[in-house]
This record gives sequence, C-alpha cells and structure tokens, in this order.
Amino acid sequence: MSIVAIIPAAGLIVANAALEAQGFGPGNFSVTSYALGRPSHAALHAWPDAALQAAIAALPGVVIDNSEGDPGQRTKALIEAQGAQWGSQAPAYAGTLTAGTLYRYSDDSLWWCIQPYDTAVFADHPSTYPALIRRARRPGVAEPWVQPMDALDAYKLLDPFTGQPEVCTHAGKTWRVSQADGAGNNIWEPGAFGWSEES
Amino acid sequence: MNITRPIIQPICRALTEGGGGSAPAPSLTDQLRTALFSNGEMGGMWDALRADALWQDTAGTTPAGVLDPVGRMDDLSGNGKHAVQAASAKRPQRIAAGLLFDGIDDKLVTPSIDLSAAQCVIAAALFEPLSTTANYPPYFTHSGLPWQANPSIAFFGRSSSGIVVATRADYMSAGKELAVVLAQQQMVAVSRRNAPALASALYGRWQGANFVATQGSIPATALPNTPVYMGHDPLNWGYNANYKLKRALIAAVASPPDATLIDLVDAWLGEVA
Repeated sequence: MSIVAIIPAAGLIVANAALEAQGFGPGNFSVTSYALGRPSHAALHAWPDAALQAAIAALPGVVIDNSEGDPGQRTKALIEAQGAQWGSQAPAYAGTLTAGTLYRYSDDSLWWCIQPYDTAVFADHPSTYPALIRRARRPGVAEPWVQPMDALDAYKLLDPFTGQPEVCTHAGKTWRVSQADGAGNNIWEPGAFGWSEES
Repeated sequence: MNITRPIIQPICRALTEGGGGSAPAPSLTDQLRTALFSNGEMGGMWDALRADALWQDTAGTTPAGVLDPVGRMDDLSGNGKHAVQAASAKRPQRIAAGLLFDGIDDKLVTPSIDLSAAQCVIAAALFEPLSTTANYPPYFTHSGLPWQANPSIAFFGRSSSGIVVATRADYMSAGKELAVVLAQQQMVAVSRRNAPALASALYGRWQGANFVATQGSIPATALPNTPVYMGHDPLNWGYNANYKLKRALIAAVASPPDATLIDLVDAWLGEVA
C-alpha cells in the first residue's frame, strides 16, 4: 500500500527537516492545500517504502491515510478530511461560484470565493470584486500585496512551504519580507518597513 | 502501414534472444545514441526500460528493482544529464513497463539543458503516469523548469494504442511543460530542431490508410495555433483518460535529417507501438 499523509503548515518545516535528517531528502511534504483561502496543510504521496512510512508515522501532527485505492483519490480525501482543499486541483474559475471554495483563474492564480456569484454576470477580473472573492497567496509566487487584516493574513518571514521569506509585488516592484515581529509576521506595506526589494 | 518492420524485427529478435552466440546486435537505444551523440552533441537521452539505468538513490549506487522507488534515471547520452529526485516521496516507481508517476508529487528533474543550442538534443523515456488528478504536475523537467518550446522543434509520437501525434513546437505556448503536453495528449514524442524536412518525411510514412489527419481535443492553451494531429482513432485522445504514455524521444538535430536516422526513429517508435 502506498503512503498518503498530510501535516498542518505549522509543523511543515519541522516535519520536512526531520525526514531530510533521516536521509529521505528535502521537501517530502509538498502538496499545498488551502483552508479559508490560505495555505494550511502540505500532503505527500509515496510508493511503498517501509522505512519512509515509519519515519512519517513518527512525526508529530501528521495524519496518515491507511485506506486502499487510487492515490489521487486518497490524497484528495485526506486533504478534504482536514477541512482543506487541494490547491492544484482547484476547479476552474467559471460559472456560478460557491462560497468557501478555491478556484483557479486562467492565469493559474487561485481565488477564494467569499460569496456565491455568477462569473457571467460579474465578468471582469476577480480582483474587481473584493467583497465576493479574494486572491489566495500561493507559496513562492509573488502576487499583489494586500494589507493583512490579522496574524493569519500576515506575510511570513519564513514561509513554511518554501523555507524562504514570502514575496509579493507592490508599486511595480517585487518585494521579499526582510523583517517581522516576534511571531515572524509582517503586516507593513512594502517600501515602508520590513521588506527588501528584489533585484 | 508496416514500413518499420524490416528494421524492427531483426533488432527486437536480437534483443529478446540475447544475440545468440555471436555479438548481439546493438539495441535501438544504442543505435540511436550512436547516431545522435557521436559528434559530441549536447542534450540527454533517457530510457526507463533500461533496468541498468534506474537507481533507488540519486548517487546511482543501489539498483532499482521492479516496484522500487526510482531516485535516478541515468542519461544514456554520456552528457551526464541524469534525471534525479532527492525527496523519497516524490520518486516514481519502477514497473515492468517503465516508470509509474503518481500524478500527485512524483517528478524527475535533469540538469539544465539548452534546447536552443544548435547541436543535437535527444531525450528518451518510457513513462506510465497515473492520471487521477485534474492538473497533473510536470513530472519530467530540466532544472525544475519548463522545457521551453523552440520554434524550430518538431514533435512526433506514437503510443501503445497506435496513436500518432505530430505537431510543431511553435504551436506550443511558450513555457509549457513539454512533459505536461505529452501527458495531456497521451502521446510519445520525437522532436528535432530545424527539422521541417524530417516532419514531412515522417508525415509521409505515417499518413497512410491507417491514419487520418484530425484536429484533436487538445486544450487550446497547450496548442494555441493550428496543430496537425494524426491518429487512427483520435477519439481515444482524452485529456484526463487513463493514458499510457509509453516512450518519449526528444531530439534536436541539424537540418536536413538523414534517411538512416529517420529509419531509426521510425523503428524506435514502431518498437514501442
């Protein structure tokens, strides 16, 4: 039986580091999943490997699927059991959107629907309707900066999915988090404080 | 249409019979390597049916048996462009028919290859990806980056079901992962730089009674212009069907191609089919 497992974002860096330290290489948990429009979990699927399975099982906070069947279906089910959604499998942005669902726009950006609406009626770019839908930040992708509302929204000095500071675009430039508060969060506007301009 | 048979059968027989008591005939893979890399051409060549080229680890010290995860697939060209995967969870599985990718996170990555180089580039592989997810991740890339489509590259292919696809790289949107395109089209491929003559030659061979030209159901985003697809049953092309991508051969050689090389490519594809 192949291995399907998932871990919350908060434990991702530690989990991947632990697996790497045991000789399983870097970045084993890599399948980004989203909850409430934010990266929340990372999953993996591996072909049968007893040593790897034992190492994964020993990780704190990990959830392992022990069912049989199609790896993709098992992975999807495990992600959804955590209240999350598989980012790369998000449905296309089209038709009537459902609140609480992540959608993929034509440029591959991800959007989190807040209120249901019909894209045929609200036919402009989704950024036109911030009360209806919001952009989900994809790890490692520089996307337009948005003023964080709270710690959950804050930009991270250490993005657990990439192991790097978060990046964004703002005022025609690309920025990378350089400073944060004691919890690793940055809520400041790029150019004002806590960001360095990418060369 | 059995143009390739006179070439295929003696070689396949030699392979299956081990060549008897005398020196065995070189395999098609070896013939292709000689034909395409003997002058120091750049690029790489991979064949997932070569058991002696598959390893569990990235260093290439532990052979991968059937059902073992594969951390490295050797580049057979001699250029050292070995395809590797350091993360255990992202390694494909060796199966009798080649490599099985999980459709979730499996991926092999080669060092960077300059597809714009004027000299030959060839890649060969035998993959069997699962197609259980809507957006199958790129599973065979170089430096983790897209295989940038080169306007002068042409692609040809044939799958186990006999489907043949032919198009040109300039019909591919820039930056599209070649592997993704191949997977989505359920096709195997041969590509050559500056090879319109080769394209014509292979069209001529494949486009016969058993083949019809058609506009397939390939996503417009993958092939935005007007590609030409040839297949005896184009309706079998499914964007997310359980395709069985059998072998990919990606080559780039100077134009015009020689007839012997065309025979060899044709034979290799015929061997797969």
